[in-house]
Amino acid sequence: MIKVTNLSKRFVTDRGEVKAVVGVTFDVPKGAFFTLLGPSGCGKSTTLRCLAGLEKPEQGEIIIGDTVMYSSEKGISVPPDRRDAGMVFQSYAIWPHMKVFDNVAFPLQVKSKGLNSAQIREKVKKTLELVRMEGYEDRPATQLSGGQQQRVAMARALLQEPRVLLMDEPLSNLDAKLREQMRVEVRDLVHRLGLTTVYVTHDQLEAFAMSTKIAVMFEGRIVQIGTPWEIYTQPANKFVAVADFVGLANFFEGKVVGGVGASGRGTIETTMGTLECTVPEGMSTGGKVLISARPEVVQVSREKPSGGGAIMLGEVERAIFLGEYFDVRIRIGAETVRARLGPYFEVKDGDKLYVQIAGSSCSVMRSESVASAKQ
Amino acid sequence: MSIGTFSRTTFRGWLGGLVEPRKMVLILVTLFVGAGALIPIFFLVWDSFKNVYVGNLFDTSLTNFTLKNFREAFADPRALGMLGDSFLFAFGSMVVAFFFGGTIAFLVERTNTPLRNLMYSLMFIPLVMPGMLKAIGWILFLSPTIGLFNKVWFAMGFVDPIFNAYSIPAMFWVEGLSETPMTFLFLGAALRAMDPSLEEAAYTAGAGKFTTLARITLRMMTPALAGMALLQFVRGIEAFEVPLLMGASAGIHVFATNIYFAAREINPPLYGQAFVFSLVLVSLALMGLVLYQRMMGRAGQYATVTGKGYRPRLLDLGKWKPAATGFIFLFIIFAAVLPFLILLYASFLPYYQVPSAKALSVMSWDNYRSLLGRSDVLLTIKNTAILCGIVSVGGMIIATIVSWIVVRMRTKGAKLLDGLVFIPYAVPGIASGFAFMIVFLTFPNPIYGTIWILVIAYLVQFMPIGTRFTHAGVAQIKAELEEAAASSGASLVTILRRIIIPLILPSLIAGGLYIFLLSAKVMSSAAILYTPDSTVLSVMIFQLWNEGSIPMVGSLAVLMIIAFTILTILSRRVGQRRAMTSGL
Repeated sequence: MIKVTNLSKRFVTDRGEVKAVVGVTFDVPKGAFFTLLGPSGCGKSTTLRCLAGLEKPEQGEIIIGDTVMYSSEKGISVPPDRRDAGMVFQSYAIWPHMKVFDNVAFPLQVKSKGLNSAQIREKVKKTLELVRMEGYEDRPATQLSGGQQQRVAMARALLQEPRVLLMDEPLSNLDAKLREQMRVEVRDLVHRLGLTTVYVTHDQLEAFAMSTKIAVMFEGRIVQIGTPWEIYTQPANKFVAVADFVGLANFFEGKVVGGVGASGRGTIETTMGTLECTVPEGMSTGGKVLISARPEVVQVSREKPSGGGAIMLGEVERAIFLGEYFDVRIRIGAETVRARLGPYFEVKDGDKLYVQIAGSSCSVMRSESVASAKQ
Repeated sequence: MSIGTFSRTTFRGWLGGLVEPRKMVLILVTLFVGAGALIPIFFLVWDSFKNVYVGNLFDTSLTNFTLKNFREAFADPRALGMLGDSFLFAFGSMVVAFFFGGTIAFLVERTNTPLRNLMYSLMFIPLVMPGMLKAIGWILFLSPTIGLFNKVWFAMGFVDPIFNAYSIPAMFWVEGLSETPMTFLFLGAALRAMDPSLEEAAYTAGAGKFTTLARITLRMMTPALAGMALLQFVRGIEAFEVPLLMGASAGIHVFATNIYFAAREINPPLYGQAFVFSLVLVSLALMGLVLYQRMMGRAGQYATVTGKGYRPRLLDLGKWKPAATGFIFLFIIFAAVLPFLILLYASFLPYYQVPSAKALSVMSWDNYRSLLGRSDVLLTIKNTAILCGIVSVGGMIIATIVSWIVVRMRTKGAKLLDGLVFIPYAVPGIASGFAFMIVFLTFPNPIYGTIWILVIAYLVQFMPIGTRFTHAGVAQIKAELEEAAASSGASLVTILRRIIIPLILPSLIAGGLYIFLLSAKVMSSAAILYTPDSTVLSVMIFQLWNEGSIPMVGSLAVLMIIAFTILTILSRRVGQRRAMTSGL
């Protein structure tokens, strides 16, 4: 439904030129919920605004449906009002000088699709019901709460029955509780309507909870595209940013010592012991790697466990009780490993514990790609 | 323990609290603000209903109230003409200011006009130039006898002049040009304060550029436009210098000139009429300002959650781009360059004549030499420097203290102070100058006839302007920053010195400069309060103009403009550097 190819956008600021988006390419199939996830300033909003036509990129191609919306090669740039893309803004952009009805009906008022005023009224009513704001038609926009403004903004974007729905951090101005509720509501709504959605957020929980696919962006580039599960369990083989930005991770260096077979699994020697892991394609014996293991896959026990994987004895450097779990830092030689222990483990600083990491719950990246990302 | 001792210790404690230096400062400032704001108003109201004349300026009896002054003031058939002329002049200046200011604000903020970012610096050029000099400059172009434009017209074979400097349209043309920078800055700020996503939402909802402009941008701007129109109209009603120079000689009068003539030029002075005109003028201004506040309150409702700081989409002007840049420069030429050039030209002449080969041959530096040799000129420069220096520095100190009280204390007294400090804004300079004259004539004192009465009058008059700068500055400082200093053991004075003043220094410098320039530029209250020993530059220019020595006016004007320009540039430099280092 959406096809973005090699998109680039620069900004000229007081401090010189900023490359906001660099060669971004992605596809969004019909009906998908596609999220651009990344830290602030990574270019995710700019990418979305290029899709909407609010920014003009320097290079690349944007196709929505079967219409070329932008192409640097063909010299095409369709203005935003003719892209048929509904957009929800971070600030909601509810016009304060209009009532709720006029805010929502605006798209049909400016582009009459052959509807008379009674039909428009009916459509507004139905759309407001969708976002659970029925009966608010005559309320002045200045008398809405943040959550209500958000719903009205959704209704306005939905009313035009757009080909694609674009959302720029729509939930970030809501308080935590409402945000969690709206996450589910928005996802269910666009899913029910079968809308193709591109969503921008810096909140990984939001991205995981809502998306069918996530593109992680860092410094203007997409560093990984995948399902939420793939992004979390197999952070990119390219950039540390993904593993580190999306959740927490323990990193340690290792070296492939052999056994890379057809299965793709190999034996890796690390400072934490020897692990059996899936190694990146094309890696051979002797290659240097970086291994990441999420804190929640680090197994901890007081007695020495049996079985394979890396088993080391360490000492608790600091244990912080967070209610749901203990956030524990365990020192093993020169390394520190972070683990999460259940609230009933009753760990305290100085405890001696066995740490076990299973190779199957680690992901392995090439060392050189890590080094280049860190530069 | 007896009740007597108890109350005595409490009283002593209370008194002790009173003489505590920090409270003394607060009380003194409040007293000054209160007295400065209320005493002139009281005199204007009281004396309007009393039979006042030289020798009986303040009748304290509670009887003897009369409507005689009103009857006399409005029995004069010219009074009605004055009303009509005042309104026509004010409306015309508003239209001119909106035509230039509104158009330029739109071009700068919403189109891709080339060089548009220069505008904010360029606007300081007309701001530096006193309105009086703009008027004189334009008279030299539009006068039916000596005006350059008319001379060119005659040279083309026409007999009747095409322009008349001494007419209401010429007056509001000049006044409107003077008011344009303020209109531009205000409307430009309103456009910039608008969340760009409000316009973007309209685009993505399918609205084109013009629909968005009409249904979103313009509608969002309505309160700001209406408020500004009202404010400009009030300023037009209050205007003094332009009507005095361009209208008075042709018998065109407005409120301010009427007050001036009744109080100072007519002998014996018609104080009763001056009071009545002042009272009506203040009432009109007050009504306008209250209405304005209401409107801005509504505009405040339009404030929304702001999103990311993207620049709004700019309208592509295409082949009209050079025309748009030309329009902006045309305004600068009209408002500053043309008047300055003709004053500069005049300043080298022995007597005024239109440009010719002969005129060029007699040009010399003589005027400048003789100016700087005149003792009255030097005294005037000294007076002006004292006035501007004390009023700007003192004004900003008072403003800082007032703002701190108003923003931080949030008590009923603080609210009252906030209201008091605003009152002089509704009292036009000419009316407040007249009120101060009566106050100081009534009570024997050593400062009447000295520069110090001007200092007091200007301090009071510019209080609301100073606090406009400091209110915003102090409100930006989070209370925690001061509380952190206090909990580190800093006293109030230390907090002021180490935390507040450094943080609001950019506002202080900007405000101080603005008041300095206003004190030097604005003649209104000085015109009523000056004596030969306390003449200031604005008054001297007016006197030289009345004597007909245009070349002298020119050379003094050129020196003034150069001095103001240097000062503005220096202060902006300092202000910007401070702004950068303090991270504000």
